Amino acid sequence: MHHPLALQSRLTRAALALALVLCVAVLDGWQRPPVPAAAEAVFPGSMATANTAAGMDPSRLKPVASGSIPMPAGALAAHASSLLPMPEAHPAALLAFWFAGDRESAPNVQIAASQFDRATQTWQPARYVVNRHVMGQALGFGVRRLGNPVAWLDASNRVHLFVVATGWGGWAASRVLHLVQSGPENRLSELSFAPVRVLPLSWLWNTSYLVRNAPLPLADGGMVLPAHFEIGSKFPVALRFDGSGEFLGMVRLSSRTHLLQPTLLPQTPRHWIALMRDTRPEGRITAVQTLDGGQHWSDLPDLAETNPDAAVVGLGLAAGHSVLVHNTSPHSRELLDLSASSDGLHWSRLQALAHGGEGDEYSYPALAWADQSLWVSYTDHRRSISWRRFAAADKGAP
Amino acid sequence: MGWALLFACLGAALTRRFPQRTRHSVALVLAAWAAWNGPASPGHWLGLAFQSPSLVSMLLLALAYGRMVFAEPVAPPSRSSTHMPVVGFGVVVGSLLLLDLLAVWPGSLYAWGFGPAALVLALAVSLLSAVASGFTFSRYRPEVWVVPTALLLFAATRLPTGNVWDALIDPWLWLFLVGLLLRAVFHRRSAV
Repeated sequence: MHHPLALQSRLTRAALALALVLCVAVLDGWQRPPVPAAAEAVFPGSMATANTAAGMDPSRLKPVASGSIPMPAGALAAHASSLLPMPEAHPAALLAFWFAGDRESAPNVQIAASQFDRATQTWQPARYVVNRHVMGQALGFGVRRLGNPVAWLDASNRVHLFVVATGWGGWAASRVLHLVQSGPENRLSELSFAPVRVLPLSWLWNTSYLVRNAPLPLADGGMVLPAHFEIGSKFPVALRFDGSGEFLGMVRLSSRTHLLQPTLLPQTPRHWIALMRDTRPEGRITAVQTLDGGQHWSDLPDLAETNPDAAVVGLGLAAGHSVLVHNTSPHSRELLDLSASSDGLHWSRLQALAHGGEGDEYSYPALAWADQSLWVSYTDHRRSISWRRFAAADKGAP
Repeated sequence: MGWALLFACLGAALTRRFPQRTRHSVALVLAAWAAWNGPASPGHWLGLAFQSPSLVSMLLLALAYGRMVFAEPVAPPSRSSTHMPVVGFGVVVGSLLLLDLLAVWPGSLYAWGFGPAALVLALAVSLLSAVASGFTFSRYRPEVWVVPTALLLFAATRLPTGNVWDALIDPWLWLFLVGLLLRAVFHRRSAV
């Protein structure tokens, strides 16, 4: 009596349920982005000629320039730089992004940027390009603090930024805020950003995912962004994006729970190695690999290189040529070195980048290849961002 | 939108003894406050902490608002247990996702929610109990249609994040369902 339209027959109900499932499946298939092709990494020198490719042999790289990137006026602290190589027609060889303010996690921390001009061979005065209040207004909800930025250039040469942004809590309550260049120009003087969204990475209020290292560019114009989960368990993940910056999905790199801040080094287009910071005491650089373009990952034995719970960054320059910047003292960040490897697993020291004494800190390195040179940036005592440029010995830099 | 619905319900709950027009007005004002963009809005801070409610939570809030303000009839108590399989399903899914967050499982359950299989599976499971117990178009039991409707909305819009688990259940809803389940277990034991 209470159910005038009750579906009395179980068969009728089952048929209705099946129809609904089919309806949703069809609607989902229509709305869902197409399944991406298998991921294939590209090396920075994939467009290089035989002549320039020879310059990518790390053993031939010699230091040609160095210094500090200018800081925004009044900034007392700087940390976590990210380098973005720009196309050949662009006036800048590189854009650099980092966070700056009174101190790490201060309310006035913003994302600062500078560019290395090809014409003047100098870094331009820095300016802030991301402010948490402006982003909060655009998102419709608050952003408590800003942290590590990671930059990427999409298939249309638009700059994307992935910025660590906290909710209620410290870094362990972080989320990854995806921003995209909002104006037509990607020169520093005109660079501005609008939020795309906070990347959906975890079910628990989207909490505790961070980014640190540069994406791995793919042949389809997309990329794979390394990230990690941090609260309690620490494990690495890889996030896939298409050429326009559309988020396509994520995969966990390891079930071990002491690994963070992965850096991706291609060995071949489909064989990649991820090296990671180790939070254990007496830690080693940890490694995982994929043989199928990032679909499946397996753990590898720890490397011989010690890791004092500090970020590492690697770059696959060409097949058989990888470089790594890492802190080489077992318990501190006072030594920062550049190493080279032919397989991504066995490393030999190439250059000393910064060797200090007790209490000194050189950390959070970034790497990029631009203008036939290897560029390194790193945090210098959490007060400024230092940089180094290396080029093949017989070529030199302009 | 989700936080505005929550504040509308809050307004309706706080004005139970007032005329319907007053209740609508209070609910509307509170909803507008929550939807306002800026630090003066509770939505600004709730979004900062908890992002967005799931589609299922939003539909349940909309139903709750309708019940409170329009005095929708309550279903006969004899059929109150018909939702328990769905409640149990929600508790299990939320628990699995919580453990997934700690990397307990060999794969990533949350990441699986971006694919089509999770959507179809969630829909099939949500309909199973309805098929078994006899779902109706009755105004007494609109909750039966909440999960399928949410999944249909998700398939059409990809809201709120493109991951089906975020459309299906959020941590606050999971806690609510855990409470419902515990209460049902307690009542059953008391009855025995």
